[in-house]
Amino acid sequence: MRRAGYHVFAVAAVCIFASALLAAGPSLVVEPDQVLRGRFEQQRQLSGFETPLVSNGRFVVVGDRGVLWRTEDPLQFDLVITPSRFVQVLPGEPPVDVVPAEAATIDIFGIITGLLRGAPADEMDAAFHIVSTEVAGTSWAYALTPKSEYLTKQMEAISVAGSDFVENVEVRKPNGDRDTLSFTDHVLSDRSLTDDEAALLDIVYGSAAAP
Amino acid sequence: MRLASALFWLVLVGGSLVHVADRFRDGVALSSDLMALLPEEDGQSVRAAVSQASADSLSRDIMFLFGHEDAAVAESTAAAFARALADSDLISETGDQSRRAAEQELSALLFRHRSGLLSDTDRLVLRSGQVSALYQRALAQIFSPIGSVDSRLLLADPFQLFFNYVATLGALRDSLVSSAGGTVSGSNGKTYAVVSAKLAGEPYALSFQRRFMAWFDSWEAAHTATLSGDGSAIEILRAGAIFYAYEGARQGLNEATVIGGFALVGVIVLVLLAFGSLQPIGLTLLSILSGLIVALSVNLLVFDSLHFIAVLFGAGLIGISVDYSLHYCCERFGAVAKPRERLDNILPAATLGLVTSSIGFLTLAWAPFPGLRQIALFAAIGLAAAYLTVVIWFPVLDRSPDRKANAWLMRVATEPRALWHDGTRRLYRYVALAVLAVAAIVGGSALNVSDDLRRFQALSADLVSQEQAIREITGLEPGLQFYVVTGSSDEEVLATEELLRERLAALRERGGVTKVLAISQFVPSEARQAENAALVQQHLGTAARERLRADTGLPIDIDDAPENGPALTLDEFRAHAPRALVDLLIPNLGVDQHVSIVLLRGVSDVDKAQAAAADIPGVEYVDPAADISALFRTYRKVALILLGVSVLVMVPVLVWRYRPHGAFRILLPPVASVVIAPCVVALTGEPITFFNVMALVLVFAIGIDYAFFCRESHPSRLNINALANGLAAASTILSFGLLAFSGIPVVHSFGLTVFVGILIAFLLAPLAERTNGKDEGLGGSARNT
Repeated sequence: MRRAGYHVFAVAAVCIFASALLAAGPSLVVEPDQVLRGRFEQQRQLSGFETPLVSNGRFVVVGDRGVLWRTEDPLQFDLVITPSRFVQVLPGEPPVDVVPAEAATIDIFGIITGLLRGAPADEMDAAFHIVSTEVAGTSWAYALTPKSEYLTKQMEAISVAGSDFVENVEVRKPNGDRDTLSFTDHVLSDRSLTDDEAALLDIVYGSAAAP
Repeated sequence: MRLASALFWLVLVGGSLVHVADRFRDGVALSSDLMALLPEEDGQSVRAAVSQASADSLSRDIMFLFGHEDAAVAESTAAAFARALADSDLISETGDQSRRAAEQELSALLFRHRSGLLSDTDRLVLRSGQVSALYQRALAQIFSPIGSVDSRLLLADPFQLFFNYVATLGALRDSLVSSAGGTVSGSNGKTYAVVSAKLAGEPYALSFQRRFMAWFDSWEAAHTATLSGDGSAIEILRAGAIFYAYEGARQGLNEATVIGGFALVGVIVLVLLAFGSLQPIGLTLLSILSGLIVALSVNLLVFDSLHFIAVLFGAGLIGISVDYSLHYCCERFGAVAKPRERLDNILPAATLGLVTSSIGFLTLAWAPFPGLRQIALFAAIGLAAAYLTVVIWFPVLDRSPDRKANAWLMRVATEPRALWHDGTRRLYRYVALAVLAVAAIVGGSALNVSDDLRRFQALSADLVSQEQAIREITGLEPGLQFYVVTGSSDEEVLATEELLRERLAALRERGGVTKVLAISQFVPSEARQAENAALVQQHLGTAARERLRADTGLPIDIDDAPENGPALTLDEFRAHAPRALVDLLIPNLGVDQHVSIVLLRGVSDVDKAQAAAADIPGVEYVDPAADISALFRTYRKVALILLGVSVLVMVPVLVWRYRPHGAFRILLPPVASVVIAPCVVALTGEPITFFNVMALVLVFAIGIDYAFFCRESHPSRLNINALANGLAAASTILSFGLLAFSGIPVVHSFGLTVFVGILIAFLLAPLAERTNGKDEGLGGSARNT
């Protein structure tokens, strides 16, 4: 029943990886048997602090199975995001479910994967108002606000921009905090995971299910 | 003389009536608290008080989920419902607004005392010295895309120790006091908004049930009508004892109407057929009613309060007196004109029946169980009074002439006599015996018992599936088991809880239980708070802070560790915590002891949960459902044993009057029916419960009556006697046996046992008839012929 924390992220994740929305949006779509890799930089601006908290690393969208968020700096840790679980892995430590298993977000994940497959805007439309849309050549940008009263408490506004893929996302929270995410070096390929990527997915799916 | 005794009896019954009416006007509450049935020395403990308080509290919880594809619709409907509910006088919980204020106050209080507060996980990590893991975790939290850090909180609590403590508590609190206004996503694409509340009234009180359901139904009717306008209706799921109770009461009432109607019509048709008049019904009712009134009056004099189970079974057992009434009435078929002679003909058997039944009931009163004692006294007094009514009033009231018995009824009723005594029916006899033997052997091997409370009620399938859906959507687990922790001070209680929770943590690791909820998770003992503060100082002091500042670039004040103030006390917490939480974990029981409750969720290994606390002084394991099952198990066993004992006690009386051979023949029919009936019930796949055993007590008492009437009857009147037995059996089956058609499992099973038992007793009763007088006992010489 408590899902404030990761709702924010789940929604952000939708935007980051899946904004195949609307008239404008990523022109390339990750198919279930494809993998999208790239680098991210996250700048977290907390209100009251001058310098933002900056982290960066790599992300991997594994078809319709899940997303790996691999922070490399200033510390190394992985986050495995799947339909059923959100698992955090710190080096040398057992994986920890950061969201209680019973509160799994099948629905949100459904939106993510649906959009990844190129599902149209109406799924997104259920949760967000589209405030503005801009298109210039292959580039596009739009601004969203959450529809539900509940989500409004978690986030004020989201803006997403990109061309072939999503490149920039900004999430503004009601307390004045702001997360800015930028994505670069996108590589879309057929599904083949490195051993450690597969190992991370195995935490959730078990080794038998590895591709 | 006869008139004088009739008047005297009238004064007694009338006096009882006045007494009972008077007590009921003062509001004699029939107790429905099952724990009141426990032996008295058990009934007064803290454990019982806690069980009761917890059951009361749980039974008042209600929860609604409003589901819709559009989350906004779900939320706004839930909000409107919550407002309407709060505006009604049906719930006791305060609204959202004051709760939020209270929550902030509580957070502020906890924050002030944060130096001594640690989540269990963090505490274990610090104790094991794996500080770097904790450090990395804190850092990951700051940089995680899922992280919900807040600048103000980060400075005050850079390692998120307080944050983790509050987060754990929040989850705990939610599983205790489900918050109104949250939303959950269902797997069907709908969003569900939750509203939960505590009822202001007693969910088992019919008047409150009706008021609540009327309110709910009218709200639902008004709102689903307007909502279905956009094509998709809102889905409303509900859970709570009141819904089950309301459905149960409705089902009970419907059944009572239908089954009761059939029984009444059946008895009237039967009596009209047999007597051509309704007067025997009037007489029978008079006898039963006077029995009920006198029994109630005496029980109210002896016991402070009556239990509804005692009244239910006691009243049922008074129904035995139908035998006396109908035998009396059947005497008019025997060419006996004088009422006095009619009475004389049935008096020996009726008296023996009364004596043996009373022996049986009074044996039940041996055991120190208040429930059985009340049943025993109620039945014994009631039966005696009904008997006296037959003996004293019937001859005075009886004006009916002789008449001829209905030939068809006579033929049916004498069929069992023919079966046992007519040489030409030998084949049928063997077939009947073989059928009974096979039923006994096959059924006997299938016999199984159950004391599971769930068997005792019929839960509406629709409500069960709604509750199941709510559980799946919210992830709330049902939890009924708990520990009661007592001590001489709050500190002692908290320290004991901490010891207990360590054991439970180990049990949880092994999957024996999924969640533990205790007040010491919110408020550690003073000793533990000091220990926590020392652990933090030791492992996360200046050096760790300096490192965090370097790693994050945040202006963390290196010396800003929270000072060690006075420890958080239970009293402070109690004053600021949500009422519902306090009521659940540290209820005010009015006992002169410090008491807390440790709740368990998802217990899969009951034995280990019980064992975990076995050697900790001041901790007691409580499983209310198991307690009630154990109570019914005890009652079932005790009642069965006492039924056996009462048979043994009767033997000397029977041997004195009939010699061993005669005693054997008298006992054969009732004992056989009591043994075979449960076997036949077992053939239907149903387990035997306490209620079946009480049915057997009834069957035995009635069965031995039939045997007495057969035995004591003059050879020339055996057919009339058989008719009377047949009428008595038919009316008993109509009034109790029809309960076999009830949808309430326990009532159904009671009815089925009576049905089968009475049928067998009636069929076998002619076996008790005298055969050429060779087994005359001493008492037999006084036989009235």
